[in-house]
Amino acid sequence: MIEAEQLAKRFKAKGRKTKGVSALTDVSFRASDGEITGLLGPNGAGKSTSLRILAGLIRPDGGSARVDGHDVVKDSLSVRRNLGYLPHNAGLYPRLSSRENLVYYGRLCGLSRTQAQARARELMELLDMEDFADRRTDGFSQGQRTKVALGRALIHRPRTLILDEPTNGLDVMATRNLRAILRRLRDEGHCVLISSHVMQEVARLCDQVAIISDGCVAMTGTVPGILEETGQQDLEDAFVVAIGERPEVSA
Amino acid sequence: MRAFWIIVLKEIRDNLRDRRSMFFTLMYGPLLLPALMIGPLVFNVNKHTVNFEQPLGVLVSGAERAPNLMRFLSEHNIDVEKARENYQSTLREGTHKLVLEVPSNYGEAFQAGEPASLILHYNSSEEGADRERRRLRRVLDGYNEQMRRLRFLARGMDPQVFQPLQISEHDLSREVGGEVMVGLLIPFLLLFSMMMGGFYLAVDSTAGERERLSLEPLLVLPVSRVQLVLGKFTAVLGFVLISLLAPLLTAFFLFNLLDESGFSSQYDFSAMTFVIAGGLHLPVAFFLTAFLVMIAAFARSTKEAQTQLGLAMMVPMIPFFALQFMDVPKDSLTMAMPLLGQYQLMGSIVQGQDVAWSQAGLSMVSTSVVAALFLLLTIHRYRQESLLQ
Repeated sequence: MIEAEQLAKRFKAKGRKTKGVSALTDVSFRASDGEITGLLGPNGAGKSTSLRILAGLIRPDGGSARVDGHDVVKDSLSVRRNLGYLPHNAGLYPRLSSRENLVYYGRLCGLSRTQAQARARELMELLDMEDFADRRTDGFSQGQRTKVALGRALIHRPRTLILDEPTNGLDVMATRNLRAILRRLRDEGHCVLISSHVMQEVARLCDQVAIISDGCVAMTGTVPGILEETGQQDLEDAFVVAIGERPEVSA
Repeated sequence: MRAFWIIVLKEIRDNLRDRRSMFFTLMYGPLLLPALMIGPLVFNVNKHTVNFEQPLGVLVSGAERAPNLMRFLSEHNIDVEKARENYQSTLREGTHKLVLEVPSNYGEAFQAGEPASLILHYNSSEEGADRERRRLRRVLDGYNEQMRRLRFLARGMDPQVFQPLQISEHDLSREVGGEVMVGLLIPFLLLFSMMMGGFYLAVDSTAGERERLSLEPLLVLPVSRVQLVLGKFTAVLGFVLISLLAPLLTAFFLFNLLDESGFSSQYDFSAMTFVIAGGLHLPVAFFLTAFLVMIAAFARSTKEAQTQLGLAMMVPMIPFFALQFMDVPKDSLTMAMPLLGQYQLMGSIVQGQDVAWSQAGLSMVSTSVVAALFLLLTIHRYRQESLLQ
């Protein structure tokens, strides 16, 4: 369960000439256990910043957020113990194999060596990674990299999953496979929060959607709920309306 | 503390697989650098050292004309061999280096009490010819002196009368001119080796990790930033220590190839010198590791880290040049300066002087304190949000 209330974040200017950037002004939404929640927004809307705040990587300037009741600022360590986080363009260790990448994270999350190895084996089967399990990750395709990074995020069976554009670079089959995995995790009762700028992705996968634009959550609800509220036929038009543009201009 | 060891082991494993990094840790610092810095020195010193113990074979033409001289030569470790007729051409060709000619009038002149001539033929363009000539010349001078004294005595005169002055030289300086450099060579070698040994891992595990975007998922893990930084620091330290100990062994070995000579007698190249050098440089290993990790942690990319560290490499050279060109006093202030203190102390130790333990202690403590400060700054850096940008 993730609860974000009026999150605000401003990045300070690096030089004297440039002004600071207001990344978030008012981000509030909930992501419940047993549901896949999508954070939908255009590039630069503040998706990654919101997710980073939830993962305890950066502190919000205003507002608060809780994961399973733990405050992400005050009780960051408790949050991180039960969190699987896949950052945007997650990097791997090029001189370690896929398996070693997974085991390293498992061990850092507190698993014993045998536990981490068993869990890595399980995930590599689940994510269809056996072909490149013991190859060094240097030179992996984007899809292979995403699989390893996703496996890494799942290694300690986290209760909450935060995935920043997880289908990035995956082909059709891999995307379908990922969707199946996320649905299974949802059915097991996990709380899954993903960000995306791809409408079809969100429409197919997410139970709940929060539309974010210019650092502000403009609308939340189920996909049919949002369509009804905006009076549109498909999510793309609904999205355009929700962020305050006129659909006929943008189309 | 478990996470700490997991990080240390992972970084070590990662670095062991980096061939470029391992080249610098295992080959460059421990072997290439000492070979390049100390090798030529040993080679040149040995080339110009005259060894009076070793038998020297000398070709003599007309040896039968001077049997006493020949006996004197062999008493002084010079083996006399008979020269061939055409010795001048063999000298030019370089087959021989040195021929002593006893002219046919030698015996007559000697008996008549007139200066008897001896001719030394040598080819100065041949390597080692000058060294052999100097040695033979010294023995001949000794014979000359002996004959002179005997002739005075035979005529009832005290040879001392003809020696109004007895000049002996006594150099009180402990530091011999430009050779101060040898004392600075060891710390210089160690510093450079340590820098190169830790360089790649320091850059790769901090700036490199940031650049390839593996830092963000790592920071989300339930591991404290202190453990993270200490883990990376310790892994780099491991390789820096290898780059400290291995060149010490190589340097010990190389310096002990030096022939006994006036040069080597000025220095103490015993095992103890190198053991003390190792101990003295342990805090420097901490210092340099913390320095490398800190610079790399503050850099935005690997490239920036490499540029900055490339410039930072000049820092350990500053004391080296300062001590060569300036008269830096040895007091508490200079001892407390990291690196400068070690240079000064090593300069004394290599020259076989006793070192005040208070000075060595001060140098070690101050270096460690600065190292700790660097480490704290790095931990602070890892707590900043801007680390992810």
